[in-house]
Amino acid sequence: MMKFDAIEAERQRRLKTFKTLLLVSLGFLVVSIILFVIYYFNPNSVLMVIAFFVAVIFFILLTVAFSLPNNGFNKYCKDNLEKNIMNDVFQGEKYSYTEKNGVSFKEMNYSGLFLIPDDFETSDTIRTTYKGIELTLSDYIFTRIVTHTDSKGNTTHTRYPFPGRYMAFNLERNFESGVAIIDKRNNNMVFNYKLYKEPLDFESIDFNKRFYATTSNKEKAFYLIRPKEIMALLDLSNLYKGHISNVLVNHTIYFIIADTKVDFSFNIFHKLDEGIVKDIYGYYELPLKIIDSLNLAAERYNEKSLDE
Amino acid sequence: MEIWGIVLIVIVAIIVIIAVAIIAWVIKTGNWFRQTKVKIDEAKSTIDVSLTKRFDLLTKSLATVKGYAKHEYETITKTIEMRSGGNKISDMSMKEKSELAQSMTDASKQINVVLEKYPDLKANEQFNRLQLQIADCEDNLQASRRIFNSNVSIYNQRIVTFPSSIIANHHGYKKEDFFEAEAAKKEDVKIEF
Repeated sequence: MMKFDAIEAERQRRLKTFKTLLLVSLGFLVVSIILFVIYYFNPNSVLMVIAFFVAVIFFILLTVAFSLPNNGFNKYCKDNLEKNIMNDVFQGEKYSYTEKNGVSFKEMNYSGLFLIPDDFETSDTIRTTYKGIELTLSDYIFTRIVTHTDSKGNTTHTRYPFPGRYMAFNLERNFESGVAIIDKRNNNMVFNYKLYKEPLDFESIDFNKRFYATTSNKEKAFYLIRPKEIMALLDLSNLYKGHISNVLVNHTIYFIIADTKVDFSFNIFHKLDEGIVKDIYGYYELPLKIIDSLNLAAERYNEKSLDE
Repeated sequence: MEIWGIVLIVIVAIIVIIAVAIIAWVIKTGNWFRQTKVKIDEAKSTIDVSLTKRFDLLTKSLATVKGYAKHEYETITKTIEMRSGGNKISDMSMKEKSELAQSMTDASKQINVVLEKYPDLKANEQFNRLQLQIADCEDNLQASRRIFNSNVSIYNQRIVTFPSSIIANHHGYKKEDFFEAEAAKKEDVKIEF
């Protein structure tokens, strides 16, 4: 795990600046109060003006105290902590990081899993390779805008954001078919449930209760989704907040965790602890865990198959 | 008289609605038991497929061992054959299947012991490929077991809880056995060659 002593040292330095500014501003506040008290007993317009300006300086200094030391700390932590964690997690593999709109809607919705949004954005996109599998990881916000018109003819537009995490895994083998497994708790304003014609019914009651599965090729679907994969998907679904759905289209698996938002923001008033670092590790390790638990690096998903 | 007529009609209507609701519930519950039985049989069949595949792979693996360690091969083979008793896997009871699965796990452990004694065997590509296939098969078997047990648990709960127990008793539905793995042995597996 990362050592964050340097980040803690930077936080302490900025906190010291904050405390200094706060103390100075409180000094001005005290002076301002004293001047107002003197003015009360000895009305003098000059005193009044000075007291007013000292009070204004107090407010300005207070605003500066709360904003200046914090300014840039979030970016500093992202640059030093998150990027070092990424290097650690992806273990020397080349990766690219894009802060905003790293994945287009067209790319993300190649499978047709999503309905057309009214607004859409992605953030924190990473592209890298793990065990020979090219993967993409990104956060997204799918927005629906609903228009309401009241009896007086006034129109209001309400934005309904649906955040989630998107992952894509490129396999070597092209299955030339599609299999969609969608969590039934997903919102049907966002997801297209009827992706493929043939519904699938698996041997697990729990799985059938939780997911709606369809395919374009039943034989390939049952080859791909064995008891091992059924239990792996159920376990992943129970492990993470949000609703898991995944679609295989030819040689790419699109993995979505809907209705979940992870936001790592840092400020100087909260000490960095192991819990936060663990959460960040968990965030970046998730696609690797999916590759491992579904064993996507196995021969059956690539050139050769153990079953052949 | 009119009022009494209306009251009578309302009472009859309520009785009819309740009767229809009860009949609908009885049919629905009966269908649920039948469908769940099918799911349990489906899961049981998946276990049979996994067990059969594991047995076949283990046999192939043992055939490779035979070339290096004939004596160990005969001992391990005898252990598995004793458990299977020459019966078809699909004809075995759940208990017998559990015992066969455990004996195959023990056989795998014994093969690993042999591996340490014969480095040439460890380098054998075909043998290593078989070992990978066995590991994959074992994972699949464990998952099949979990699915089967989950289905059986849901089914058994409905059999014992009221009011679905009324339907279960009427139709003669009995609790199903779980596919239980034997408790992990505390002592190391004893290998006697």
